[in-house]
Amino acid sequence: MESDSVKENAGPSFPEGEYPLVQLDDLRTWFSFGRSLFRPPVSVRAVDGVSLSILQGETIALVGESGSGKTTLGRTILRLVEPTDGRLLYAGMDITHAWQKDLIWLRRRSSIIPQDPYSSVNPTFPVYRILDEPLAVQHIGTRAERSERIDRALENVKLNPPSLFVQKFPHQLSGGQRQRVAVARAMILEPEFIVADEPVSMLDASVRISILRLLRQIQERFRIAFLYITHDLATARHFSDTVGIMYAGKLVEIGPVGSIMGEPLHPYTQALMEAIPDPDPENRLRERPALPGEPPILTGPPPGCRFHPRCPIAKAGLCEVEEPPLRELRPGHWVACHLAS
Amino acid sequence: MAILDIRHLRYYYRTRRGAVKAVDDVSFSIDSGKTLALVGESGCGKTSTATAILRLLPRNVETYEGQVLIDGQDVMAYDADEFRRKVRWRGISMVFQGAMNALSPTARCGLQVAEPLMVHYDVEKEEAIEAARAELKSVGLPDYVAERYPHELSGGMKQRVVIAMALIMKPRLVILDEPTSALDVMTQANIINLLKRLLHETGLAYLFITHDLGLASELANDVAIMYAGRIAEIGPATDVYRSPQHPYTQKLIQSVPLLRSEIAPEFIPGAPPDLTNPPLGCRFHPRCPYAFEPCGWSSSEFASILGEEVPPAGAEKIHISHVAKFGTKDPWTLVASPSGETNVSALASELRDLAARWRASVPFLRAIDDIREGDGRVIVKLHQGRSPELIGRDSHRAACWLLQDGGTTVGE
Amino acid sequence: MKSGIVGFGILASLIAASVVIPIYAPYDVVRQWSSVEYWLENPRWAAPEWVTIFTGKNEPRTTVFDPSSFRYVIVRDTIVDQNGREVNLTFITATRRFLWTYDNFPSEISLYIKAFFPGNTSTEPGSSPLVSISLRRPDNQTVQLLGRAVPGPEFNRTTTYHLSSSTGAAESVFGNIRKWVTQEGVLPSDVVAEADILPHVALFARNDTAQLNPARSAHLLQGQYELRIEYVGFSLNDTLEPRARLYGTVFGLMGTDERRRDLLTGVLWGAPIAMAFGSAAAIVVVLSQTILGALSGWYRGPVDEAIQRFADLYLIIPVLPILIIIALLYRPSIVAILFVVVAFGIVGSTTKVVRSIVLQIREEQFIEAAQSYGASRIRILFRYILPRVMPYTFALVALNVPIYIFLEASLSFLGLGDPTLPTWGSIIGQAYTGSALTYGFWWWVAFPTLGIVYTAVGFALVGYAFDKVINPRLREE
Repeated sequence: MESDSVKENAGPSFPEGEYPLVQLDDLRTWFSFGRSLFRPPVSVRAVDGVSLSILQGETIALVGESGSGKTTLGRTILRLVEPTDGRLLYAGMDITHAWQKDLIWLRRRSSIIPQDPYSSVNPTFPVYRILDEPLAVQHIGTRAERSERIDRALENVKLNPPSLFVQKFPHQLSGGQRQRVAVARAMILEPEFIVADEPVSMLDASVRISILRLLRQIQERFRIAFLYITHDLATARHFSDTVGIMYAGKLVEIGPVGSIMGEPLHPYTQALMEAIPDPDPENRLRERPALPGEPPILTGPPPGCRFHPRCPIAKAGLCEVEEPPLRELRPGHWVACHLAS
Repeated sequence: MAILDIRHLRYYYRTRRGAVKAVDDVSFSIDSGKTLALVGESGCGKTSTATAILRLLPRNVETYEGQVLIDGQDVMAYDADEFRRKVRWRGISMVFQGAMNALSPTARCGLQVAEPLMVHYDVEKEEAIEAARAELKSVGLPDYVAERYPHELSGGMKQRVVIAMALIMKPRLVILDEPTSALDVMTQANIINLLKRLLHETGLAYLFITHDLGLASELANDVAIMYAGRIAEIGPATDVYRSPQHPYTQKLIQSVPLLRSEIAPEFIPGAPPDLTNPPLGCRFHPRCPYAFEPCGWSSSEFASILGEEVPPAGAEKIHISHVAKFGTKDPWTLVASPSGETNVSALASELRDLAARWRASVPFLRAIDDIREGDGRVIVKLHQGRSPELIGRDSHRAACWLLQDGGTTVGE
Repeated sequence: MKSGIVGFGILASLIAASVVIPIYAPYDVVRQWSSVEYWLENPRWAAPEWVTIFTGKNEPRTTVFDPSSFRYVIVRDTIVDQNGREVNLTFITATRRFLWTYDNFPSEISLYIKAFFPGNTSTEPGSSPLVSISLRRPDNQTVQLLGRAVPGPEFNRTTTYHLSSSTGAAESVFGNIRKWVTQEGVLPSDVVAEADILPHVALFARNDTAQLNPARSAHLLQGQYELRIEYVGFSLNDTLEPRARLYGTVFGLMGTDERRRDLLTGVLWGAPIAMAFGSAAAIVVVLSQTILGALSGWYRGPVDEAIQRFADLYLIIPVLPILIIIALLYRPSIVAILFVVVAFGIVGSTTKVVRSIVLQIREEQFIEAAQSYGASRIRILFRYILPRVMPYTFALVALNVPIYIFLEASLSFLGLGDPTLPTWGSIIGQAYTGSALTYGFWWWVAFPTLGIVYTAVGFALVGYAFDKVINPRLREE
């Protein structure tokens, strides 16, 4: 019986091969605040016109500082938040303004790995229940089948032996182990797309690598498309194929990881890279190149290119007037800057 | 002369599970105008070292001993009042982790920066606020910040306010505990530049505590790597980064994802030890690929590895086919009692075989000294492990037995 | 945690008491709470018996002389009177000797005499039987209490002489005692009025100036007393059933109130009533408020607005005054009071507290993750959020029970509660209107008050212990 509903809920299916799983077309997500009798509401333009596609099986890192809109973009793509404008297509289906009740098939095919190991899993449930819930919600399998799936999921995230871990509660596990449970939960429905929202930034440095490596292994083995949201450009380099840089709600540069790291073309990307120190004892002899100022407030971004107030090469008369479009300056490597070449 | 000289500092505190040996025989010194970076994973004791230096001790202290010399003067002998007046915030001040969130939301920033002056020096409020304004300016903040409340400022500005607070009493040394942890990359770079500038302009010294090797390299003249309450390696930054001696330092450096290089980072298997019951011998030995006889695999570790279902990484190949129960007679003697139909000699020879065959690739087996039969059981004598002292040339030393007698760890 | 254990101990004892009560004093007893006859054998305003430990005085217990304890001398004869008519006569002398060794006066004396004279059907005046009651004291004085005709010619008459009150048939008794006091005693007749006579004191006190003053100065005469009832009836088969009661000054474990009710029964029964009322009210109210608060915090938007405004309205309503008005108008039973109380508790402060907890929980990342695997909002609310809230609500239930107990007690105190039930509040209320403390009847107030305090402390300790257990976890998470 459940296989029928599974088929019904599977959504559109696709032929094999590479195709864009997710397509964003000038997507905007604005939040309204402060509605009162005396003032019109204020809009926070968290995502303000982003277009990109994510191919099946592709890992794309979305890098940005706080306030860049990367977290909101991740949530918008999963339709946990409704976009205000633009189009959002998943597997070819327009889900921009779809009702939640019509998106059950999407819930089966995509999932999220949250950031905070202390709140990413339900503290009152044992691990067994945490992993069983998605299966229960999607009406998958008999009790025996579910139990097996749970064991396999735990093995996939290297929490061995599974029988030891299924009884434990989150507070009995370390931060790294909790995140592994969150990864297992994200995997248990066998999704094709996972949004990992800063999955390791609250973990110890030594644990980070092992979790990221686990995600990479899972990605390669199961051909899952990943949107890896982070502020850490260095980890993005080692764990993704494509890197996109966000600033003030817009995508300023996107391309293959080698091309971006080897030749960053947008002045913000360049500044970002220069601001990150690699371990090098010579560092203390030099000043670290840094941009002055702060990112703009998202309620009222500057006109023209959002970056122009801090940009070292901004050209008067152009950069504060016109918003730069994304141009393909190298193969697959797009930059939103009037002056880059 | 060194501004700060710590010798054999020990600080243990009591919890329900036992005494946590947070700082266990730590020594280092910092000269004027220099920075020592204290680097380690979380839980290694680096923050505890800072609170121990500033004597910000909780009520459940069990041990607090050693020498803390400031400009040559041992301040351990001071009583609480003297310490508060002479040392805390005057000789040494501190920027705590997450301090920007600890700013009082109900007081303006100028007043908060002025507070140490009013409390310690009995300075009049007007004068103190003037001094505060000057300090805020020197950390690069515009005038209006003095009148603002903390929630009206950005993260970077709040952190500058906190730094101003630490500097207002003109201390000789500032302890910085993860001063940029919650900040964006760009703001972090700006704060680091501020700290560099302050260091060069005044005769200040820093004790810079962080887990980030990249960040540490921005300021450090010298680096001390801390592991499980002890210093694993200490020396000039150039030496420690370019030729790390301690296996932990090597692994730590390898685990940093590099922005400017293709080399993928490696992770360190295992987890830092529980400080209420740290491993005997060298504390890093359970995770060390080079561990050998003196490093200290104890009988209880053996018993748990051989007896339990969950083998540590790398030891999956170990499998005792004869059924046996493992017990510990003392920390360096393992007792294997054959159960079921196993006979003693078969068990003994299997263990000998195991030790011989795998010792090259599985570190803990190297600790086996002797396997003997007696009393219907197999007695396994282990090499007694000792915690290594800091060994090495000149100022670059590491606490690793491999360095004894002039050995090196690079390329082993 | 120790306080929690103490609290649990208190609650356990209350629950045990609630179970034991029906055995010691079955529910019938409770139904009799408002009756008069059931309690007649108890003294009024009697202190608990164990006060004798502290006062050292041997306080009198109630002594009952039932008909079988009297000694009877019966003579039946027929004589011929001066007119030549045959007259049937029955002479009955009933005597009862007793030794008064207590250290205090009885609190009351009552005397019931049932005279059966079925053979006397005459309606002529002078044909009623005559009865004379006297008491001989240890000092050999004999006081004539009564000598009169038994009223009415009907057979099966019962006449009660309640010697401590001054109404009805006892009036002449007072006059007789007064006569005796002023003649045989030392007090002059122009000073002593009938109203000054306290028979239970005067009859037992030494004849001196303090004879009428019971408080401290009247001197008790201990020794052998004899109560004698002499009856002359004009038929042949008359029978006499005298019954006397010398009421003690102490009774039971908790004493009695003005209606002679055993306060132990009342106070013990107060326990299950209070517990049941308090618990029922607290559970329903907290549950209702929790669910509404959770719905409010989880769904936000118009649902949130509506519930919050509703709750604001309720917070303004003064519950107790309205309850008083309703009680005054409708005189409800305790179940009706419960309904009204619950109706006033559908929303309240707990709604707001739970709402803020839910607001916090809904920001946690596993909630978002649940949405991403398709959990419905209802499911998230009931399976993920409410279980986090429940421990908190247990604490709130425990803390709310005393509030409702107090509410009920307040109503009962004002006399507006269920008049048929022995609740602690009603007992205290009656003590108040009966001026218990003015007269020193401390037991009437102390025990029900202790009952309320004990229960409230028990629940409060348990509630706070719950709180202590939950809060660290909430902070840690």
